[in-house]
Amino acid sequence: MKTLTNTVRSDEAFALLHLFEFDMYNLDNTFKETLYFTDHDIFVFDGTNEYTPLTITFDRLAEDFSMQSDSINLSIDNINGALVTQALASEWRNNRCKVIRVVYTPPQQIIDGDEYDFSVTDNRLVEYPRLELFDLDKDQYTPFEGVIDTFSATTQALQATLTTQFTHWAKPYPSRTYNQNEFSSIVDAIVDVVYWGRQKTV
Amino acid sequence: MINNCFTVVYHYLNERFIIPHEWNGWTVADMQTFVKDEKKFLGRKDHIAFFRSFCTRVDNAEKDVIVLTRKSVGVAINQFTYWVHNEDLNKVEHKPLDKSCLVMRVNHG
Repeated sequence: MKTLTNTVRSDEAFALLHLFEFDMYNLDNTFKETLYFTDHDIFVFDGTNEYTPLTITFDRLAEDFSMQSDSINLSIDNINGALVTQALASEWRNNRCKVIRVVYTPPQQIIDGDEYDFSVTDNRLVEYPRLELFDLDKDQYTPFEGVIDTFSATTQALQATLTTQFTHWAKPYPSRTYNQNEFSSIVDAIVDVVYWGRQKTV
Repeated sequence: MINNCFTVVYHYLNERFIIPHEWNGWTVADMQTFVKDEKKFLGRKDHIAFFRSFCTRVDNAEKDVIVLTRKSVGVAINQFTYWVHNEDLNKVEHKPLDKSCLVMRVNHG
């Protein structure tokens, strides 16, 4: 749910970043871990999770209310193949992904005696530069939440297509539960009573 | 006192792990000598030999494992990135892990 307040808009200056979450499952369908990435320059810590800075681009992040399964294409830096290694050892597809947009006001900071009105807000809580997001005035909402549909990769980049959760509406029965050729009558029976995720009444 | 990537990582590890204070005739007191003759030590790959004396090479990086390249020493942040002290800028920066990186874990925590 998008709830944009006046927290940061009351100030003229603000900054924008995105946070990405990908759930990874083992091949036996047990949960493995969630990968946290950001398109910011440095690490981002929201008080609970630390987001790793990577080159991530996506083609569009539009919002509409049409009854169709919307999708976006995402490209992530493959980090010399490390991401693909991770992707092949576990299952990305059909698992949760989330894009969070954060609008925040960078606070003042004094660096080497010079005062900056809007700084990078590195609090030096860890050895490496990190944005401590939990301390800041910010608005945070989720413009996209869905599943990873397909992905492909080169050494340089990993491309993925993300689809909204509406995609489940087109799957009234769990995939791979039945062999559709062998149990066609069962499938027909299910399809007969389920229509777009609800019971078919008319 | 001058710092380089080795001294920064050494102090970081020394606070968290039991690591040797002397090696191959070299002691912690000689740290500034190491900084001064850095190129010679790096050229001889002394930094790799030093960490190999109390670490085990591992295939996958995770937080706080040591990341060695031909010219630098850093510490992994997670399986994708590591931090390293940049002497020219005199600050720590993060870098993506590379296939050429040698990853080692301290034997005795």
